Amino acid sequence: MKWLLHFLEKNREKVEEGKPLAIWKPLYEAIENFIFATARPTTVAPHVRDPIDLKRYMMVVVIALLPATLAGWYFNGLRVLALIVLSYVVGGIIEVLFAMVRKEEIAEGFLVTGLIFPLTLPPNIPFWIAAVGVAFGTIFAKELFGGTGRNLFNPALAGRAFLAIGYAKPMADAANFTVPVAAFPGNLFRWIDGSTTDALASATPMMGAKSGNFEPISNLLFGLHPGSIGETMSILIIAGGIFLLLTKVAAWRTVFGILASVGIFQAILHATGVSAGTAEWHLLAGGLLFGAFFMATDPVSSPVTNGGKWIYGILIGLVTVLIRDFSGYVEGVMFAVLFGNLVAPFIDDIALSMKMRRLGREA
Amino acid sequence: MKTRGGYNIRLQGKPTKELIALSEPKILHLPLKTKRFSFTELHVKDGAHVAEGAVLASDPRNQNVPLIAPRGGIVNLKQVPGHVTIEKVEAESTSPQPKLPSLYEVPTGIEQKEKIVRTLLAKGAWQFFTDAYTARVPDPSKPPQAIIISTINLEPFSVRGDAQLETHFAEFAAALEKLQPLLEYQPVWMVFPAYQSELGKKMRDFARGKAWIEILEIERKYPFDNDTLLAKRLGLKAKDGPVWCVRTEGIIAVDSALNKDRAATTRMIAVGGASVAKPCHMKVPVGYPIASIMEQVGLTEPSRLVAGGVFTGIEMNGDEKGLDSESLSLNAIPLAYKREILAFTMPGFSKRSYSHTFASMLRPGYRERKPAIAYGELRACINCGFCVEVCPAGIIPSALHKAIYADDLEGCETLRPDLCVECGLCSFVCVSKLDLRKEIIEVKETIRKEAELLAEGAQE
Repeated sequence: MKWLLHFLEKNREKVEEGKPLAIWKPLYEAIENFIFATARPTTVAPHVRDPIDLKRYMMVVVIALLPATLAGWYFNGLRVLALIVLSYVVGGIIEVLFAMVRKEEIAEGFLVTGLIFPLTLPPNIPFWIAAVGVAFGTIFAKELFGGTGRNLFNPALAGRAFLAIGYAKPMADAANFTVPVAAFPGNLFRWIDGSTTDALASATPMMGAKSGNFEPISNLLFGLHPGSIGETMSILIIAGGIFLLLTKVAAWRTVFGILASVGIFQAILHATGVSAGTAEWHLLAGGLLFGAFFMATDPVSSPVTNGGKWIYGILIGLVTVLIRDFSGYVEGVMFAVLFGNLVAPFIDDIALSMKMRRLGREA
Repeated sequence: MKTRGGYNIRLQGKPTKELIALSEPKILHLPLKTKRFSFTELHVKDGAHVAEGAVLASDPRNQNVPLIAPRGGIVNLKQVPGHVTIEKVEAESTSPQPKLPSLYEVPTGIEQKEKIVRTLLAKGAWQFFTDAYTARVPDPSKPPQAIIISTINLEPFSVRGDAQLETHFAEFAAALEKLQPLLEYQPVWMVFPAYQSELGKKMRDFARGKAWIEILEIERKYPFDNDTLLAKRLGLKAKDGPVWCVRTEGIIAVDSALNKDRAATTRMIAVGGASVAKPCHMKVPVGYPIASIMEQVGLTEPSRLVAGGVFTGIEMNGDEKGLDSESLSLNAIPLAYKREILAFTMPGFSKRSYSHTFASMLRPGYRERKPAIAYGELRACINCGFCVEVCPAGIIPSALHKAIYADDLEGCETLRPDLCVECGLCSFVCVSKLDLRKEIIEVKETIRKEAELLAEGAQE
């Protein structure tokens, strides 16, 4: 790889400001910094820094998503991989274009968005719809706000919400879900879409629940039910989520806030006979775990204070339960997290002013 | 008050307790600018012949802290810019000595308390005292509400309290006796690390023997030894008056001033850092040539030299020829860094991180070689919250950064940058590689200036 570094260093001046190739600088820098760790020295104290950077941070989320991704592939076939590639390519092009126009660096946030977005889709969704979704999420939820770090909403979720509303039929069509094959090698080496004769689902667990049909808990745990690509195998989502909590990349307060509030509210509703679903069923079904561990914990769109994270988590849990039990929608996690994103700045405002007042009394 | 945040990094190159005495050099270069002080008022002329203990210059903005000649010789103000150079001469001087500025005379017949503080100022010990809430040299004429004596320095790497106490215990004890008359009712707190050692036991026994000394034990976690944090922890409020903070080196300087009638110009410093072959302590006079010090410990590779610790120290750019009168440590941080390929996918067994995203998590208790590298590109803040977690002052550096970025000075003020203790942990852990410490220090300064302008406007 020495030759590549050599090549990059030799050609650096060609992309400097004022040179004909200057417009390619963001891409040039992205490639260089993607492959070779930066050797930028510190200029002010502290003179040494923690080795973590944004690439690493995002990479940890990608690693945490891998078990769920592999499960999605196993159950839904090679098409999953194609969707992931498509998402990275479309989103990546948009990211690069915006960076070039803005003359800014390409931020690494897309490493996560590009993977997390396809995992929220039905496995047999037409490719063009997936492309529209990721383009919408990247452009309108992220780039127009100023790029990674400045967005109000989680871009992947915003893209999915756009599809859920704008393309309601293909997003909820049971025919776009696959009935998983448990026996090895599952659908690992097969291409499945609506056109093949594979057993297509009659309903996902969340759809079934609306008509009082509750998928057994064991099926929820091991992914033996139709569902969006990444949300089915709860046990692997939990494993990835725990990894995320251990690495401190996800905030445990948010995760526990959501899970505890869904658990408690649902238990109350079940005990009072309002809802047929038990707390543990609702915790494992649908996109709740995926949303709690990977979506709601997106730091950019969450509150920054500890107290704020609890409130944020509890609110998301509460809205999820409300939508699941009292609305026509089958699943509420997506809208709940987006609602949480929306109120996060206000939660922060209140929590910050309270914290600052407390601090003022100390000195 | 509960403690917040804090983080210890374990770096290679911790100075051992070994104390090296250096041979006396022919020339001393005393910098006129240090981290806190600017010795703008010169009291000697070029070519003057000074004796040991002569006042060379003073800092009028910091209670007239003097810069004192560690030994006699001929003064040269031109040889090195920004330095007072003292060259040793063999022949005894016959020319008259520059007169001691009246400011530093300690007249007889004044009250004992005043006599003590004036002696401390004249003999260069006062510069070791800091007010907990202003972080400046306190006004010696205003009695404190309390005195905090800390025996630990937690920043990597500073002069070690235990190393100093092991060699200077008698001086430390003798100086404390002399300080007691300064007090009427105010408490004296002595700060110890909360763990058992032979020295710690000896110190505690010593402190327990004195009715006027109270003991505070703290966790050894950077920067819990910070003066402001200690004062807050003890519940001392800023409005109740100054809190004098002084550390081991200051108490030893007090002994020198009050018991030996000598200026505290020779002191113990720590020389550490990953690229130092033999990290240790040294006993050197102020102005000792940096190059000779580094030669003594041996640099293993090209390094950045820092006056002070790696979190708050100031990079030396080569213009500083001699040890300044404030620094108690020198650190050498390696510059060389091989650009790793796809580093963000590597397990990272040798990279210790505050986040637990590296495999070094599985490898406890090793010391890391850290180069002076940012380890990443500058990015927008992603709100990860690490800075909030480590901040010992309890403020929200990330929110402050956003307010600063948006040029919202009023918003900044409500986020209380004035509470920042400038420990540098937020910059250290920042995922987006923002220089948060620098930003916050700058905004503090801006707010202070605005307030001054407002006050001036109000007067007119």
